[in-house]
Amino acid sequence: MDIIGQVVSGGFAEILIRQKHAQKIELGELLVADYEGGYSILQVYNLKYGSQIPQSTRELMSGLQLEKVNVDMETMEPQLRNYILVYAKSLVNVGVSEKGKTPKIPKDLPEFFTGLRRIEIADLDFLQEAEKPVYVGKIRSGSRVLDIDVTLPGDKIFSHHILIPATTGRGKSNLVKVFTFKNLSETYCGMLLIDPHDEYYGVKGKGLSNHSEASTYLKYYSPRASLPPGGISLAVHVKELRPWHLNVFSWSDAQTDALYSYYNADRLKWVENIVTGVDLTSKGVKLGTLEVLRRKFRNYLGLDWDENNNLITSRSIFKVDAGDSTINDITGFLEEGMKVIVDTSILSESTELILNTMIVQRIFDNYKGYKADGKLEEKPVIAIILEEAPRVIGQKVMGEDNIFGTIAREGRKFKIGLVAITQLPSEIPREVLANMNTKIILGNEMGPERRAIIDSASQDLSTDDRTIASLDTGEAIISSNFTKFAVPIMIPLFDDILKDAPKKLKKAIPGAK
Amino acid sequence: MKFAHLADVHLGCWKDSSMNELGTKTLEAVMRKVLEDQVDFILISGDLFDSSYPPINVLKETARILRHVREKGIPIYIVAGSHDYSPTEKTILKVFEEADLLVDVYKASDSEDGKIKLTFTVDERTGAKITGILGRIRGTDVELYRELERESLKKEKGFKIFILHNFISELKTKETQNYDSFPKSLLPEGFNYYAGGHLHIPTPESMRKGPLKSTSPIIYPGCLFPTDFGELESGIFGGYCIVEPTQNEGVLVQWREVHLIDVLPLHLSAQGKPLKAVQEELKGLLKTKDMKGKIVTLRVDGEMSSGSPADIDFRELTELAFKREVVNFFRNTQQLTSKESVVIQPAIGFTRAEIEAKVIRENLGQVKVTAWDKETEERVIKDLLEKCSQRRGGDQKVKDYDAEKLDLFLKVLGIKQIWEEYNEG
Repeated sequence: MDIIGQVVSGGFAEILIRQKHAQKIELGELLVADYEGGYSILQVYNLKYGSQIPQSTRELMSGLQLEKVNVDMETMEPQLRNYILVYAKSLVNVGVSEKGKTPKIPKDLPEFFTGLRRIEIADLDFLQEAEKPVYVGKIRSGSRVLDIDVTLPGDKIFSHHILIPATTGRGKSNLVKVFTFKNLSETYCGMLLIDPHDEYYGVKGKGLSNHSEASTYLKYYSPRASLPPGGISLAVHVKELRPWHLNVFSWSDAQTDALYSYYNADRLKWVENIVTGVDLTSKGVKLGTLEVLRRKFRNYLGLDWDENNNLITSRSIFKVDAGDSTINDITGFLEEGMKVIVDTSILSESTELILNTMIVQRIFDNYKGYKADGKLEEKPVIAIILEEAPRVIGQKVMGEDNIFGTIAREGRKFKIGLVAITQLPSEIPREVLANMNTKIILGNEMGPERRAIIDSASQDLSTDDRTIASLDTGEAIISSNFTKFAVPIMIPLFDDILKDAPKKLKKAIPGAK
Repeated sequence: MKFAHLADVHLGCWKDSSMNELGTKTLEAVMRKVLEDQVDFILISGDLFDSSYPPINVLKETARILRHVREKGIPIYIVAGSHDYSPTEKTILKVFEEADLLVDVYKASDSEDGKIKLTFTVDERTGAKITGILGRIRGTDVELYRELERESLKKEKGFKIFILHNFISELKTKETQNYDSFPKSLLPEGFNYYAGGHLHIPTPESMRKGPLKSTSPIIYPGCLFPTDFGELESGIFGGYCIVEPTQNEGVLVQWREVHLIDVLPLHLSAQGKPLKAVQEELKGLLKTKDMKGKIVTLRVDGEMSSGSPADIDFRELTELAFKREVVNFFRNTQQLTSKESVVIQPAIGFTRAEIEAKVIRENLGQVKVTAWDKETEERVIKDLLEKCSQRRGGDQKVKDYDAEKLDLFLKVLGIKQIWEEYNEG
């Protein structure tokens, strides 16, 4: 194998390697240093120019060349005098014996002048497929993709929370579609995908509905009037609402008291009574407070009233004549290990938050009950995939009593996890970030955001700031409690996954002539 | 145009033949009423019969009823339901269709792109175009809807009716939330009326309160006659619908409840009560209620403080009910238990002998024999079991075998002498 560099200097987290002339070593590339009884895998995190010629001399030479001064300028033995210095760190030491390969966290340095070669597929054969594998992509060495699938243990990563930080256009939605598609028929994990852009199902174009078993394992809820075949109308009966579902918003003490007064007076019709202006002054609710509640319900729930104070639900997903079983059905599907997409693309932000809270609260209550009854082990893990996560687990809202904060802090105990997608991980409290034991880090140009990710990562990514900044679309680093090292991956395009996916078998039509 | 829509008749579903007779009588009464209403045709959304091979008496009566309707020139359009469908197409519905008693409107073929293409049946008198999809067990007909070629159905002009035998998710209520269903989006669009079956509860609820005007409604008339104890007890009766198109493209649906016979549901909680008290209270219940000419359902539940459910003399109670001239009497004791009920735990062991020994030890002392201690009791039981397992010899007469067995039992129990003295005396 070709040696492309050699260790010349540095220290434990900063191994300096001189790049061989005419070889190109990239940021993020994986290099291998062989030693007796095994090998080390190193990752490049920085590249610098090195030269035997003093800086001032090089600047003069350049000036002469640029300004075309008539001097015969040639460097003698340029490949010896000017070179690239590669900064790398050890990711993993792999011991090789008759029993096989044993990866270990590195605790020593490669020998001086050890030659380094590019990584090959065989070097990574110690990576075993995880139990209950969730496919996320292939190993990446710089921009080169190796044909080794990277999987994560699905039964663990989802309940231990996942963070997917990335700026726009780096492939977040593609990543979600890829791992959900590959995992669609696995019932050890139910997934709730809150879809604010209606991009997962495949209403226009390809999506998860193209899976050969989508009819069995995928459910799609949408409030749109026109649904694709198989889509379920998103409607929720108002009697499913509870005052604590509205904790995502700010209420004054008087307003909170009024909410509970109406709820306690009529547990089925309390929302209707507020919207239609039923007088509850006898219970101490001031008319002024009632008017505030009515206006807020119109904004938050889309419920309105006409000149006769009759309830109008036409512009809302909250109904009085439909949606009795929607929340139950959604949680029921999740508890069977199905994947449920809820299209929130045409909902107002406040309605979306309330709906999400209702569903997640029901999931949490059910699972708490199962744990108390000793039945939790029989139930699948439930992953809640949430975009713009700081809306519900950000610094500003975490002090409030909201179910997402509870899940972020305690969900692991109840086999419920968040998959939080965000451009602004710095908005999420540190203790929550630290609890997110798997981070699939896509490209991010913003320094403070990269710092937040690096500071809470499961491996030492302190030298990877530049690497993260330079990640291209589809390139990612997985930092997880369940991987031996921070794994650089390339996430395939969803369309390519579809091409290789099995097609649905056609069945005979009963009674067909 | 005016048509009748009924569903889920489930003829032949009762073990009791008198109930099946009531079922066919109900169908006959409904058919008489719809003829009086001068309908142009009748739709049946599946499960006319409870099976693809109903009892012969049920068949005869049904054929007679449908023949009468057909002789009036009124067509009957159906799809097979989850009960009267047969995957091998060996269903009585095919025979009835051959006899021109009804028309199955599920006519499917492969389209060019592999989708399921449905062909309309056109009602001659009104020009109404009718099609539908049959019902299959556990709602697996949903697969047919997924593969449906929809555009041609949507584009078809005229007054269109789609008959389905499945439940629509968006219509679920708290009572029906656990029912199998599929989303409304799987139905082909653009039909004037969706004639539903399979759901036994009349839906939507609003049509039970008065006539319903709607565009493209999905209607479930409910099952025509109760099919089990729960439906009898619930007091929710099904019915049929009379449907007429209106001027502005909607339809007017008038649901009519069918209530041929009254049902009196009775309930007794036996919680904490001894056997004697339960028996007396049940008798009292049957004596005090007016039940003449009615079907009576009796549900007994709870945990009795003494005695066992098997000790309740239901024969006496049944006789009492019929003396009070009930039409029929049904009981349900599934949730009735007693303190004396033993919860059966599985016995675990590696060999049969080990399991037997374990079970014997767990049950020692249930029958008190003063002369025996536990060890003696255990030995006697084991010996008796061993003797029981010895089979009769090939040439041994039954009489001799029985005598030999009796002799063995008496010896093991140590009462041979007592037995002989008793028989001599």
